[in-house]
Amino acid sequence: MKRAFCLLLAIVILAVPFVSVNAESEMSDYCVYDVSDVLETEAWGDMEERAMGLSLEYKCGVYVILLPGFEEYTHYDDDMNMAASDILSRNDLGYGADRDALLLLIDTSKQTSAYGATGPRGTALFNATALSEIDPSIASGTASGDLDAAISSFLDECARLFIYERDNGKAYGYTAEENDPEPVRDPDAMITDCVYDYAGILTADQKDQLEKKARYLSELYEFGVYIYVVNDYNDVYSSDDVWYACEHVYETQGFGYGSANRDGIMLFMSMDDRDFATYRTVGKGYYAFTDYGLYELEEYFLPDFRRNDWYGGFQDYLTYCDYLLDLAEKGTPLDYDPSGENDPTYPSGEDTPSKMTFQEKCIVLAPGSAIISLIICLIYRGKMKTAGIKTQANDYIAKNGIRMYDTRDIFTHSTTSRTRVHSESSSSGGHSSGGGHSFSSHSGSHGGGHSGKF
Amino acid sequence: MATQVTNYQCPNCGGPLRFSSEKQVLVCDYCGSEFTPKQVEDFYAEKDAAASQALNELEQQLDTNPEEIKTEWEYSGSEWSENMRVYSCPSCGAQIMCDENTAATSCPYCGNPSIVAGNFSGGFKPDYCIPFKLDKDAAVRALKDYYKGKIFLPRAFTDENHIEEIKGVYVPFWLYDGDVDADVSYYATRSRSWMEGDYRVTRTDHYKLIRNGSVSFVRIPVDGSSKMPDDHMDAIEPFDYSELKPFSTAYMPGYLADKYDVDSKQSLPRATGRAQRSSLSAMTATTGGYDGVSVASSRFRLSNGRVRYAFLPVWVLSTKWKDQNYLFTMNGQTGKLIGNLPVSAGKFIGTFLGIAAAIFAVGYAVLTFM
Repeated sequence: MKRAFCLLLAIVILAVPFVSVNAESEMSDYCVYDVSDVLETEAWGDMEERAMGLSLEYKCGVYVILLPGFEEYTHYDDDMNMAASDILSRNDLGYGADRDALLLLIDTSKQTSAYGATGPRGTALFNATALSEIDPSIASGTASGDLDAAISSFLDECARLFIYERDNGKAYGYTAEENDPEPVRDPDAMITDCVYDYAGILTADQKDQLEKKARYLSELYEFGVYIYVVNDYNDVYSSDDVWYACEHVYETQGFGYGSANRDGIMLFMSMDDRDFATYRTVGKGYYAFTDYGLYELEEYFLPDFRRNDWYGGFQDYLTYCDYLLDLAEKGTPLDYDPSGENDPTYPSGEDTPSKMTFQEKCIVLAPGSAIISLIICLIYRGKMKTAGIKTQANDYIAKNGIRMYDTRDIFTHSTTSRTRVHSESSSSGGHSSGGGHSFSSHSGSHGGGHSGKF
Repeated sequence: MATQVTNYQCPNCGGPLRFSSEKQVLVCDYCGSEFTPKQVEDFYAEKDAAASQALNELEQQLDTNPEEIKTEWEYSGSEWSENMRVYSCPSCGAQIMCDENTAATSCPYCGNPSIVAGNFSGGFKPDYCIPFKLDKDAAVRALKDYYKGKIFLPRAFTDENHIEEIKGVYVPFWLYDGDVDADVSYYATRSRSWMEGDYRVTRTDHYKLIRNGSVSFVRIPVDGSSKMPDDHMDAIEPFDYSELKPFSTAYMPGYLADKYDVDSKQSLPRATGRAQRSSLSAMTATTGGYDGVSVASSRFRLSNGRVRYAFLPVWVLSTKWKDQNYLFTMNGQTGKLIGNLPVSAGKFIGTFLGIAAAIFAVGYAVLTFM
């Protein structure tokens, strides 16, 4: 039972796009996910019972996830704490509508652990002060392989934090000023700037003009429209792809309109390597900026950037955002198909997988089927002819008959080659067309978008 | 013309004795008496003294070494210039004409097993033999089992073809011992890549690997009969050498045997080739951890070479279908049977299309419903 369930969870976690747990449910069915399959069934049952009991009693999900290598389950492969929160969000784990949750993430291969939290209560409970004082035996237990003790200590800590919160009316060590660096937001208004030019490619006057227009659009459509320009995106967030820096900025700078959904779109540019990325939030963002609409938007402003016309490009970006948001307001977003056969609204927040035509399927399947069939037939045919000259005499090597007298590996020299990569992206997805541009598609916990070069 | 043909007769009734692979003794088909090879040898020792004396004199004339096969891959023996020999059957007196290399056969008139003693003596005397462990029925069963599961085998082949001939043959083999000293050097590379802006940078480290060692081989078999196909004799390997016995003609009755007609010097390249390739593989097995390894140079030297002469048991089965002969051989000790079967073009194409269609259908369903 436990093994089958963990296998199912592994499939769910690995699935791209991620499959969400029913958001309307109060709580997911399980709290302890042993994907690594290292816990004894009885111990797992006890932990599950205890974690679920805490979750239901204090109305905040308490989770323990054991993975054989956390990097495979998130794109935050260099930050396990970020990975922990990301895994919670991607799988919609948590309690109630706010998905409040606390997580102990254990990498059983590296014997390391990290903590994650989602929802307002979850993040308040796991504030910096609380985490700094958390029982060190959890980490030491993980490192020494005593997982039962580590998980038990984690559950004890959660219980302690819950009880403190219940008795004192606030989370242990939590103060809004210290623990929430983001500005207190007016839920019905934009409070941040819309245009950020850290690369200095705009004049003050140009930036003011763009700021006014972006803010006007944001207020008009109640949808944040942002421009963020840096010299090197790795200074913002170290990653292989500019898109993750874009997502990081949006998620950490308090961007978005309204407190609930933080709706918005952002154009992120990294000037040194001429990288760009676009990010729009799930819900209204995906509705107004369909995958096709986003592609058309990029087609609209990228020619300006290729001519180094930064101001013109940003103006075109805002103009086309206005156009797409207006269409969405009218209930006919670009690429919207009323028949629903090719629904571009992506209510789940994920890209719709492209359907192959019959011809495309034949082109893919016919040669592959023929080759596999031929290989199978040749294997069987080989069994019809068993006479053959032997070329080796391994059967006749004497016992302990191999003796090595000299074994040396001598380094001689190194060569280095540099090859220009013509593909402008890592092509994890996306498309290009004649006269169009190439991009990679990405999706995160709260939004998705594209990245590419200009 | 040599007339040195003998057969073992039952000490009790005088009937012919044959070697039973099942019981591993000599059996008289007339009175049912059973004798171990040692008993028969002792019984006939005195009787054969005169014949042995004559053979010794003959060997001295031929200047052959009466001791065991010489070491250092050398084997010396006399070769007769004529191809056919006529012998007189000691049982019925009929004239038996057979190949000059024939060492054991049976009289076509009275059916009694006969041994051409001259082809087992002197330089032609084998050092070892492995007695037959499996009989004719086992060979027939093995062939029928071999047909099973061969989906491309024409149905008519199994229905129409009949085994034309089954022979139990002691095949002459040379068994080579020796050490191969290997001195091999390799070019090896190890690469890693990373991105620098729009460029993929690949750094490759180059190494020279030196491997020097020695590999000892024991009894690499090479058949010494030009009549037996080399690919068949190689494919029925290996034999279980733990059952090697000192040679005795008492194991021969009931089976065919030829003395070698490819000498140890001619067979040597096949043994050394196999030994060198295995030595190279053994050296290469120690070069792990690199992305690419290629041989730069290799030198091999043979030492401590020694060759032995042995008779190993083989069942030979031949069938005919559509005017074409099909030969199968079975290891008379282990039962490993090999041979090439005809392939039905229709079955091959039909199976190919069927499998391809099934894979296509499954793939189509997956792409459609995923």
